[in-house]
Amino acid sequence: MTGFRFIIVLLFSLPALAWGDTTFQEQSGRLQAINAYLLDFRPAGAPTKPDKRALELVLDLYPQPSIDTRVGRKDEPIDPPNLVPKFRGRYLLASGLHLGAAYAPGIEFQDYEAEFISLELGYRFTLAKTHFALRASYSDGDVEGPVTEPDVTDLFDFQNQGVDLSVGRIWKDFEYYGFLGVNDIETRLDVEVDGAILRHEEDTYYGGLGVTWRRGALFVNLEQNATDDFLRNLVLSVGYRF
Amino acid sequence: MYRSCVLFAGALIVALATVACSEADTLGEDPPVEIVIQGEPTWENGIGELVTLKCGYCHAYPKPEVAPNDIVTDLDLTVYDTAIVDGTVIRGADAIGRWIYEGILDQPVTFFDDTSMPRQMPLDYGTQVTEREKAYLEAWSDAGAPRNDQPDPDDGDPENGGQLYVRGCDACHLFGEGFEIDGLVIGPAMRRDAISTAKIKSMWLERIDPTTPLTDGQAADIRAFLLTRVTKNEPSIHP
Repeated sequence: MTGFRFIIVLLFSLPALAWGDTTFQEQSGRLQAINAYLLDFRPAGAPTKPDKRALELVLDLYPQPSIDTRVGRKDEPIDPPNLVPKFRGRYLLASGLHLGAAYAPGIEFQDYEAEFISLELGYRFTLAKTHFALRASYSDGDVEGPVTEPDVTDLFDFQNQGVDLSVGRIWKDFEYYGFLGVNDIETRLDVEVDGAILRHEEDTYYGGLGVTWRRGALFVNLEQNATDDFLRNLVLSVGYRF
Repeated sequence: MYRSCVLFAGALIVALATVACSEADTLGEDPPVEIVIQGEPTWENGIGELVTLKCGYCHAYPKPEVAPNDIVTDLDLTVYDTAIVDGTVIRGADAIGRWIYEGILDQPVTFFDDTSMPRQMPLDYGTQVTEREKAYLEAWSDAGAPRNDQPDPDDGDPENGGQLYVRGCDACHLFGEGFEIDGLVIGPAMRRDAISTAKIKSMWLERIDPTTPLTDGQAADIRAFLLTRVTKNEPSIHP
């Protein structure tokens, strides 16, 4: 219950977004962290252990929150995509082990080109009708496009490593779950105009709540993510289990 | 099947309406951190902290990654003293009082034979200087960008200072009020209040003899000469 209570506190009593004095390093670091976490490889699925070996193909949709990209006095009209799609494959073994991956081949979309690979390795088990999943994830990729101002090609590079624990229960056709994890990111932003290089490293906690509706082989998942106290975002997924 | 769909749709709507949200705190609207200085601003009393925080992340030696490509590479605003580093004269914060005086915090400023583009500081994407901090920096500049509240010694020998002065200083500061050629300022007018031994030592290294730094005594001699013999609008400044 303590873990769940923490998640509840994390998600529902998030304070009004904190205001304070800042530096441009903190602002640019925060922007890089947000961009990295929005491309992170979160569970996006209930931790239910399958009865038999299965392969899941999933389309994850990441609605992007409104982002104030101002750094210092620089306030450029950046117009990033409102939705980031991600194709995910997940291979589940009857033993509880599961492997997952997502890959974006670098297709240009609204002046941005993202190429990244994400991997996950997890183990699912059941105790007293409660499902658990311990999962490690890794993402590595880059985004080229107008990150700092319009009509330029900046390069944003990121590596995320995370470990999380999910806990879930089944009720009728629904699988409810919560998760809590810690993530380590390393990012680098190459600013085209000035040749400046901005680096950022950060460890942070993340958590979330989700629900999976499963009907036959088809399933739909809604997951609310929260990253520390500065980012909340949704992941909507539609998948098919073979 | 139908009931489940309705239930799930209802759950989605409830979730979206109550807990689901998509929000990012980027710090974009947060005001810049401000350094507050008690007493007279000097490098050791607040200005060092302020300049290091708001200028020194780019203006450092060696050039930090975060600095733009076309930044001047011989300026280190994390230290006060101009010094020879790796065989190169690296200007410290003792060199920037003039730029503040010329208004670099308010408008693009170009200076002397500096190769950088005229720029206002801080750049737009840097940590901004608040109005109060700007007042500190201007007061510091007006006072000659002092290291601390200890006054420069007044026991300099103006005769010796004059001899040192004509070894190089007068090539640019021939007239107390300064002069320019084809729009390029060669020697700006000296500000009496800004004539300090630190500035003299800095200018000597940067412009006259980067191999032989002045001693404190020699700098005091030049300062004594400047204060006692060089006056505004006086055409000849030779001893």
